[in-house]
Amino acid sequence: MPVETAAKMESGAGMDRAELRELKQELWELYEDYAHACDRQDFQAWTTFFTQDCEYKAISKENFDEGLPHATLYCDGLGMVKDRALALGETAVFEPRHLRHFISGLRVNGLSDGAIEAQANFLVVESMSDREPRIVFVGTYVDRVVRDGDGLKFQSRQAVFDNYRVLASLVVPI
Amino acid sequence: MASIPLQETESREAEEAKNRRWPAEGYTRIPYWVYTDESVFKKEMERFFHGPTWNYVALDCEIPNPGDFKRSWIGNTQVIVVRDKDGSVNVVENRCAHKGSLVCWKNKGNAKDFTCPYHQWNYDLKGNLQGVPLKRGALGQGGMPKDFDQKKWGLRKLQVTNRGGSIWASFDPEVPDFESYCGPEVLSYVDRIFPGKGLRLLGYSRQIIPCNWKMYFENLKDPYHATLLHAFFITFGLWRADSKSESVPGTDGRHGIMVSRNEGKKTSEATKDMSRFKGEFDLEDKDTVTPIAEFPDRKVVGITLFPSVVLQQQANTLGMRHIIPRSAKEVEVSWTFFGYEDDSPELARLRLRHSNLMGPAGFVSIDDSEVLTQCQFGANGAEDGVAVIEMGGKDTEPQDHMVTEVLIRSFYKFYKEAMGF
Repeated sequence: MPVETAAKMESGAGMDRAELRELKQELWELYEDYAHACDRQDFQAWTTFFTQDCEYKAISKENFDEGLPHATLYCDGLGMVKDRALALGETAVFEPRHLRHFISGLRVNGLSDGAIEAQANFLVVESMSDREPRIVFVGTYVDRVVRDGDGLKFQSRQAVFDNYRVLASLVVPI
Repeated sequence: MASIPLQETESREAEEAKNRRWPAEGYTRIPYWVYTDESVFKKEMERFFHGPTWNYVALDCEIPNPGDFKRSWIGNTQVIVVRDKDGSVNVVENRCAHKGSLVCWKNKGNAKDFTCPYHQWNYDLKGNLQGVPLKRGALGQGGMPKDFDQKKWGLRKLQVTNRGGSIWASFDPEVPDFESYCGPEVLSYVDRIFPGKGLRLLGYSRQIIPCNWKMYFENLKDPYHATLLHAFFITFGLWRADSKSESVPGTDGRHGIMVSRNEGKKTSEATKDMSRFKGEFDLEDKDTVTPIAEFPDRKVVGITLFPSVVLQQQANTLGMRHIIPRSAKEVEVSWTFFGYEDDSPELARLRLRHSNLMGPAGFVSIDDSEVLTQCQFGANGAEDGVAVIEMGGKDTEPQDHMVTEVLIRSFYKFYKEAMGF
């Protein structure tokens, strides 16, 4: 398929190739900074990627596909995002772990009302201090990104995981 | 309440399990081999999950229409739960009578009948074998022998009960009725959550915890840990040692009722001993810990309904935690979150928010999966070791406080006898 056609299909908003390339570069930085905050388990930094009226969900593909509203991890508004960060930092009891988020396959699906509809794949590998690394999550981010001040933020981020079952627990947000 | 009778023939593994000796102190001790020994696990599957017990399999609202089905589990055996043309629910084992293939390969769907993909043996929604392709051969050759009796080769059919929209099944045709199986107290709490009004499915959270299934079950019979481990509960007043509470063993100890109340954030005498009480923290969004009072008794309740499920009502979440043992050292916990058809928009909103407390990422449940994982590691290296279960005394009488392990003692009193240890 010619690149022009692909770019048109991907943007869904008549962006030219240069504009799309520039936007994707900006999105890449957002996605990678977000992944880095999760990998560092810097929960306070994690909260800064969301708008005031945000929604964050880590939801199974099963629920997502069936249109069921329950998400394994659910934040409705920045207050809940901050509370999740507080709980992880101060009240949750969990075995220390190292995590690495791998992001690929970034796509821009459309532009509407000043928001960017985008998606990307994620893969999360977890290592406990005395055990080997294992893949704990694979899936797709389904995102709505908006310009907020100088940068981009998530108005909605749904980490839709393919896992039928979570391996033990989901501690650090995806 | 009928006790679970010994089976006449048992597997080799179940025979091996007979060599195990319980500690002389009785049910105030739990030998760690109950968490590690695969022969014990095999015997539990035979005696409990395949025995005269009622096992949770589904909610009515998951399969509302004729032909709707879902796959579910009883112990480590997969079953199909399907709504028949007349609206009743059938439960059949998902295993072709011919070669043992799973007949149904989808988790959910709608079907007129079930056809095994392998040789296309076809079953109706009751599990009756209604068609065997090439039964009479081809070109006058082959085919099934004349004495092949199609009626004898259906899917294995289970006993089924529907209680207020919760669906239960048993492999044993001799199982006592559901009401006497539960006993009056447990039954009253089942009816409290399932009063017969329409249910609304909110979704699933599923997890695999690398621990023995009984560890998970015990954890919901243990109000003591909840007052210490769960800093989120303690700090934000959803579960505290100084709350008014009850611990009531059901019937012969197999079931358990754990009752508390949502108290709100406060300091008291007891918070001194709660090292994880974080007085200085507050939430930005108080909705997460502020339930609407929806039950007149204002109780929050966890019911362990042996052997397969925990019924959970905490804040405004309602959930069935389906316990699916996979091996001696691994259990799947499948959480089905639900509400009622007549929930107000506000209650519906809070149910989703409060389900954040629970499940694999739950503000409190994270602690449980993490701790149980560590307990299993501890047991793996110490089969001859024992757990000591003496908090709140050494007996099995109901208690009206949280600082007790009476429900665990009651469970092991039942277990020890039922397993013949």
